[in-house]
Amino acid sequence: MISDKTLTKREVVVYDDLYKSVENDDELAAMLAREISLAIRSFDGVCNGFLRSLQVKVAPKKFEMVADKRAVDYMVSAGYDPVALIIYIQKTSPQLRFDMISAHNLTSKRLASIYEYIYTKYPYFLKNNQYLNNEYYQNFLLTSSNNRRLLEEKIKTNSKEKIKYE
Amino acid sequence: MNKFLKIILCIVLLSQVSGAFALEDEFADKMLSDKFIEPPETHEVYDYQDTTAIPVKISASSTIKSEKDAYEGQIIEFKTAENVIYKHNVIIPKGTPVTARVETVISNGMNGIPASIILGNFKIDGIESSKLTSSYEKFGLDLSWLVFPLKWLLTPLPPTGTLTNFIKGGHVKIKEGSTITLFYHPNWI
Repeated sequence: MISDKTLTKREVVVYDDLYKSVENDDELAAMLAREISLAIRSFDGVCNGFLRSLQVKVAPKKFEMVADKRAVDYMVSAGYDPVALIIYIQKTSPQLRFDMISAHNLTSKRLASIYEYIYTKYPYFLKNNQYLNNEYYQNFLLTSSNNRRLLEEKIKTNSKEKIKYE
Repeated sequence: MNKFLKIILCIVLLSQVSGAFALEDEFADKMLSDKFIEPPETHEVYDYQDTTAIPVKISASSTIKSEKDAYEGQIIEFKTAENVIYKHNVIIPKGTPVTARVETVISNGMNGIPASIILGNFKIDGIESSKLTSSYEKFGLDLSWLVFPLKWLLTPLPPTGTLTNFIKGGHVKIKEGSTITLFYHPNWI
């Protein structure tokens, strides 16, 4: 969820309904990292960052994916487990039926993209996955089998193409 | 009593079956089980009072024509463009190899939104990576500063304003020899 204030006022607003879904420090870090990674795009560029904010508003899907990936980096850098971002998004963003006319990507696409990013850059957290038995992670494993198969094919074929996740 | 025992037996059996349904991450098991992976570097202690930052100019060793040539995880090679001096000592000589990793590739889009490549994980021999700029974003030609005013200007004449949606932003290009500036923070922990 993108708060208007995240970009225009450079404020991270913590909504109570989102905060209530946070269960531990990793998930809190996920929530904050996600918002900070968006807000940070408004800090430089033309008109003191106003133009970049406008770009995010105009192309929210594109920058949603970017913010997810940057959030993973921030979490790892700050010493948190990035797998918690998958759990946090799984909890707070229900899967839509389709995303053709939506301002958001399908949650399944976002999660698959985050999973690929973690696998590529921080595989340590997948190998030593402390959230494996978490019910939300289990749900992710159940619903992402096709997407993970696509990732496996990409790795086996050494392809550099972007995967079109479902 | 017999009935009670049967119910207990059923509950025990059912709980074992449901326990067996916990999914494993087969993909991660298959790909990572036989690899030794070190935990990534973290950066948990900052000194916000310390603003010492030494500029490190690096130049690209090869050309990337557009973001289409780059892929996430790609290693790009640079060289330091000049000596880096700290406290009257050369800490990084000119020509020292530097590697960076393509973290994220953002394609160009409608409304003049430029493509960009986010570089990170900079590595220089003898310098701790955690003391270097964590990421650098290289943008293509940004036309949105032109598109948005034009769109608003043409709004009274529908549908001409909408046509500006189709103006695409520029591709990213990193030319051989082009320089970017990183910062080395010697006092960061």
